[in-house]
Amino acid sequence: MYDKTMSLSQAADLIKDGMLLAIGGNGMHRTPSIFSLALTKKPVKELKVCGAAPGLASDILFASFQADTAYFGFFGLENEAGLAPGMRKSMEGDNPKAKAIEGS
Amino acid sequence: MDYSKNEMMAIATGREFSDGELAIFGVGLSMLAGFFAQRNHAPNMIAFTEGGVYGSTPVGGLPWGIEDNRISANATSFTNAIDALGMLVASGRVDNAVIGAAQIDKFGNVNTTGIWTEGTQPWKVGKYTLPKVRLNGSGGANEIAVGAKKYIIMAAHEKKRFAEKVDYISSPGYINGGDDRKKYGFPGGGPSAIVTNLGILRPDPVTKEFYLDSYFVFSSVEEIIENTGWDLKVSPNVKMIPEPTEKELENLRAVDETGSLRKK
Repeated sequence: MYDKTMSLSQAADLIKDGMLLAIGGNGMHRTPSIFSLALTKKPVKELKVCGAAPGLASDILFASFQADTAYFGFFGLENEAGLAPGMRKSMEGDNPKAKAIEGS
Repeated sequence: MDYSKNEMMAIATGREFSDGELAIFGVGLSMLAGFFAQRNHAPNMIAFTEGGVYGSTPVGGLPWGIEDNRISANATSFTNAIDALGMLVASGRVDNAVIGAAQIDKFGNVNTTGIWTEGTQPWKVGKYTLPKVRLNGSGGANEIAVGAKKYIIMAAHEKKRFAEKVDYISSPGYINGGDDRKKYGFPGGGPSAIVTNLGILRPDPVTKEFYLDSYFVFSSVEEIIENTGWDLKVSPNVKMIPEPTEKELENLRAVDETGSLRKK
């Protein structure tokens, strides 16, 4: 049987500049945050992120300025955790580093 | 009786639900309000979330999200947003719902997209400009606002949130009032109430402008007018909302196991 297992670092190497990533999970739940943290160790940039409700894993990539576009219906950390700080950091201000394409 | 303002708000929202309704709840306090109703007086209510968690009752306190284990543990089915929003809501089958709002206007339009600097709002400059504060987006609230037969909006009653006109319409209420919803072909009927931590506003049957219907024992007509950013009309029959009964509080706290509504 073909063995697809690999290290987190090797998996992160599969991601290239400018890729559109569909990151699973919803808000704070079942998001592959460790994978996003592994990506922050790589020089990859200009990533695009899509999902119905991107949360923590996507927010990490905006906090590190490696993602420049988010396609979403809801982008937040839910309830008491509130708004997504990484997304806000990269999208607000006079010279935003990222843009939001909001739909639902 | 000792209860918090948020508990009163949740109970007032829950009273807007009837038994046997098909209902959809957003995340947060609205979910507690809805499931309080199910436990208290609407045992045959079927509730679901936009994530597709259908027929569940939360366990362990306030769910942290629409697909949290606390909400999905005992669901009849756990499908997806296409079934929940694309099928059940968009087809006009949903009887009642609750959504939240960061900013709201006199026609019940809700903004959860962003807050703009005064004068730079997209509707003022005629094109989309970047907001000063980026909010989390509508999520499924837009579909609910368009498709549910009726729905309740829950919001903190502050002047900066209750604007004459929202910066951006993320989830439409009655747009510019009157029969505007018909122009857009929305299957749903629009918001039936705005329940806040100070009272309840309801839409005028003709103009669809929200007026003050009732207030809580701890608020007043004057306080509500002061905290509303438009020239709020007051019902000639404005009344005080009955305080929670012992049974209502007991049922609310059974749902709100972790005391989220009692936190300051």
